[in-house]
Amino acid sequence: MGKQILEEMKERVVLCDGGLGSLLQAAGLKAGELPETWNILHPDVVRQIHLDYLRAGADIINANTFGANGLKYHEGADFSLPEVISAAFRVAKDAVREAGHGYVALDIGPTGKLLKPMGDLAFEDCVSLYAEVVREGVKCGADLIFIETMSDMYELKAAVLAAKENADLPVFATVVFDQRGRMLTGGTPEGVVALLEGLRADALGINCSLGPREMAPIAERMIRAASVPVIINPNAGLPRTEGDRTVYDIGPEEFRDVMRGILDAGASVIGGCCGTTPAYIALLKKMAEGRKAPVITPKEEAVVSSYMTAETITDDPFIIGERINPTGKKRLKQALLEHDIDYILDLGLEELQEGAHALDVNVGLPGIDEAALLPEVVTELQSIIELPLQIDTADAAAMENALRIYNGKPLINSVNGKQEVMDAVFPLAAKYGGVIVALLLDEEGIPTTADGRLAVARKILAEAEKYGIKKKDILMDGLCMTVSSEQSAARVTLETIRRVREELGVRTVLGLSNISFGLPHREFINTTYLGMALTSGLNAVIMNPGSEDMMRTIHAYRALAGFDKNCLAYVEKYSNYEPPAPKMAAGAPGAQAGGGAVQQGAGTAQGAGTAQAAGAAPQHAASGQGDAGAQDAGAGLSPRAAALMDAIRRGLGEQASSLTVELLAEEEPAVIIDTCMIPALDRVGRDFEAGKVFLPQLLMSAEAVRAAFEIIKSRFAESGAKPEKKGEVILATVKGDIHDIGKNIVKVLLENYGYEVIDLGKDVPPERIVDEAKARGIRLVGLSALMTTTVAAMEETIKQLKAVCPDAKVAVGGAVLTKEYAAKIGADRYCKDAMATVNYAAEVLG
Amino acid sequence: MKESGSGGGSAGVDHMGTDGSGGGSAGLHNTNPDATKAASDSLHNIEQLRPDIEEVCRYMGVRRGMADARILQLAEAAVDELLPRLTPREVHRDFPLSVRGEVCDFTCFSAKSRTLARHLAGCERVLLFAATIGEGADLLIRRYAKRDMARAAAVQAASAAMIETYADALCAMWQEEFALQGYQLITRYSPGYGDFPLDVQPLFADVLKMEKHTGITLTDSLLMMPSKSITAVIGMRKGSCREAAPALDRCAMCGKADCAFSEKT
Repeated sequence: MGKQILEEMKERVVLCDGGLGSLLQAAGLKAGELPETWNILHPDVVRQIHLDYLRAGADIINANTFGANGLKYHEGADFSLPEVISAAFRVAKDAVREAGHGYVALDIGPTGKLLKPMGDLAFEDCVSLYAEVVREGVKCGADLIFIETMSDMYELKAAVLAAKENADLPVFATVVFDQRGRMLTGGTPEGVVALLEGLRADALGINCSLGPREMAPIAERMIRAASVPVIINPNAGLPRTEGDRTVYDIGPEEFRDVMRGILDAGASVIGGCCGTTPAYIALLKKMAEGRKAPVITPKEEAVVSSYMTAETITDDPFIIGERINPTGKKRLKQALLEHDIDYILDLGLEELQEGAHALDVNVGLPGIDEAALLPEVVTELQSIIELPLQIDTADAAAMENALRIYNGKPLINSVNGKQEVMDAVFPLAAKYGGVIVALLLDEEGIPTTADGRLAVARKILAEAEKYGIKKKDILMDGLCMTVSSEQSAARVTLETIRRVREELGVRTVLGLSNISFGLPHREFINTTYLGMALTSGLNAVIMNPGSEDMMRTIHAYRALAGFDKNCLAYVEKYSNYEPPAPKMAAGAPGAQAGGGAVQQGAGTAQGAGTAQAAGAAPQHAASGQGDAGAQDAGAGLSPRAAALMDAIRRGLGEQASSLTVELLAEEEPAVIIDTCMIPALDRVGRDFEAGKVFLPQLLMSAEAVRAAFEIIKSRFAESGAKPEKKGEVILATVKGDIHDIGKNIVKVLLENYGYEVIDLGKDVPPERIVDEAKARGIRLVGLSALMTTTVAAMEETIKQLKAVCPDAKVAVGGAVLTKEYAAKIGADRYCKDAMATVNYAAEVLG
Repeated sequence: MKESGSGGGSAGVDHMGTDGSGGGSAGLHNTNPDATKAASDSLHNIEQLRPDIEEVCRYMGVRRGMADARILQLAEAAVDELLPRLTPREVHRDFPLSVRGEVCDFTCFSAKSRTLARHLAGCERVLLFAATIGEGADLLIRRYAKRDMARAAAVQAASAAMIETYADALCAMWQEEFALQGYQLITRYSPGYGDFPLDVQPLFADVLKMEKHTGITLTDSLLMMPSKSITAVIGMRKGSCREAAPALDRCAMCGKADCAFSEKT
């Protein structure tokens, strides 16, 4: 029965019903009363509304199940979820029988909760909530599943996945946009289309919030992007109050007239939302009677998305940042092994700032549980970066876990011509959606000719088609080989790119730094080859956006190929460009700009030579002048050490790191930490406690220390040595609390003072904190809570901790806490700010 | 209380997608047919949300007048980065009010609070509202917390000042509107002030259809997300603006003695 509606939609325009809640309210539903209970308490009212819509001409009616989910109809509620859903279908099906036609949809709305990481509902819990509803709907004989009024992309994905996994019914999904064409959490029409088509929704569209006039331009955007039928269900205009009633400003005739234009624009399914009544649907019916279904042309754009943005991969070079990949990177390997997620996030943020359009994410390393770590890193990256991600793994379980929790439509790296790999990757891509990178190799290895690579490409396309995966969702990787070992390799790859574009009509991608392996000044080769590849038809390049040379080629290419209109971006980028100074013949790699300048500012003549070479010298020098800084650094310190202390006190991160590079040439890391970094920070900390400086200055100094530490960590990673740690501290924001800025401030400072911080994050259940404390034999736990409502969770955590780890000390802080309150809930110490916590850590751990 | 939240889970959910609903829009003033639209129309210039930079510094824990050039630069940079990312949204509704003893009856629900009852003395109606500057601020706070804590603190402070500025602007706008009907609006009062309990947040969520109209959701522990959101009640009494209501001493309502963010310097 269900699939029949899809057949009808190919023939003619199909009609939905209109507002239900507004009619129930008119019939006496009170504010705060759950509408679904009326299926049981007032079935006749609900049935009559359905019947009125069917008689008006609606083809699809939504059963009264919009808010039916396990959060509202929980154990102990007046009615159970199965009760309200089965009653909803009973009355809806009665109405269909009486009218003699109509499809009954299981209506699914938002849960009202925001998903993690923004809110507190876990993605899989959300899927489970919806799955429960879907299974009930299937049991009751739903003809289709209608997900509507969704205002968050992630919740939308959870609902569609639940529908697909628990039913074999058509899935329709409509979302809410504001007048600017944004969802409440930021999604765009193009992003919604990318997500929903990737998840294989059968029809998609817009409902609620706007009237037809405001919705029309957004509807057009959606129709332009979609390859499946589009549904448009507006409100009856915008609401206003007349006495105690809410009325809408567009009547049935005007509604019909605007909707006619929306049908002309290519909508397939129309109906109404808030404020519309059977009278509106009746006029729509008359207008749409006999109209053929619109011709829907499949769209050929390659679109990837995150919850905020949708990016189209065109001939304008698409930059996929490659730095989150441990291959050949000791510091990243160390970070992965130590579960140092912040370091990975930092790489991602750098790539964002450098101009990447998407980020490759690869955390594969021996000894790493990739299936657990990859989704974790993807989630963390998505919580701070809005760029689309490229899920890069050879581990099928890791790929599925990451694709599942990804918020949007990602790039998938990669498939190739091996049957076994295609069997693993294509089903995942078909289920979750994504644009797939396809490497042109197979069981026979890498073909040495373009003919051979095209044959593999054809095989991959044919296999993809079996899964319904379109050409537009594949990027062929022509494979870049080392030119120094095989001279023809460079040409074969370029020919492959050109022919994949021309003969197969498929887009291409390349990671090309291999080309120059074994040659001097590799950037010369890489940049030239990048230009050649782009000219041959390369669409996307996997590269380091931090490489000035490569980015220069991209910018120049965009200007030359006409993508940079009037060369504006090029001019903006390079009009004040100064070529980098020639490298110093000797000395540490970082012995350049900032360092020299600071030395000058700190009153030494030593750095004069390098300072001259530095473009930024004057301002740095100026900022180095002034108060006591270097003078009180103490006897026995080298000028560089004094300058480092000064940079820390002033909170100058870049200077602190370049000075640390220089200092490492003359001092042991431990000496630098103990004689410069900690004393400098101590001084700032004392000033903070004395009220001479404030939180921002303390934090700027802390960031400067962090920058210096990062240099030292890199040095350790190279040598394999480990920095000494003073002791471990667990930090957590307690269960129920999702504000963690205070905890993060404490974390930065503790780390600066050499403590190993086990950061359990926010909304952490007591059990997790206790388990971690026990496993590590922790002596100090810091807990944070912002609200009175979450202090109870803090008290519970302390109680459980003291029972299991009686020797562990507990420090607490947060907006609502006071010394007295802290004592009352059993904490060992109330810390009013981050320095107080550092001092307490010194007391407890030394 | 800035960071009050609403809607324990289920209660704030809108129903039906079709509800013509009293929700959000009902009870709105005639000249403001749609809450969200009203906000974007009257505050279409996002620059109006630019906060007093001294106020931002105060939220950063800097005593009044003590901000040096670097702090001011940090605060201003945070404001400039935030402004284009703001998506201010609000929803409001007004109701008849009656106060009996400690019980404030807003018609749609009632709450027991001694301090609020005192605050609302003499008012005949009450306006309930929810407002947010959107998720953009939270994204930036999360981002900088990973990279640059000083900047994170600045963005947190700037966005806190901005939601207050937004709420102030809305209140000023309503003040003018309701003056036409002969009402004077007194200072807004949020759940969490005095003994006005946070437990009313789910009721706010439900009555205002907060999630649907503004995107504000409640966690189980009644925190609002986006975090830079405000819910409050505003008492309305007959009379002219000249009989100004007493200003609210918010710091006096809080038991914290060692607060770095005190309004008093």
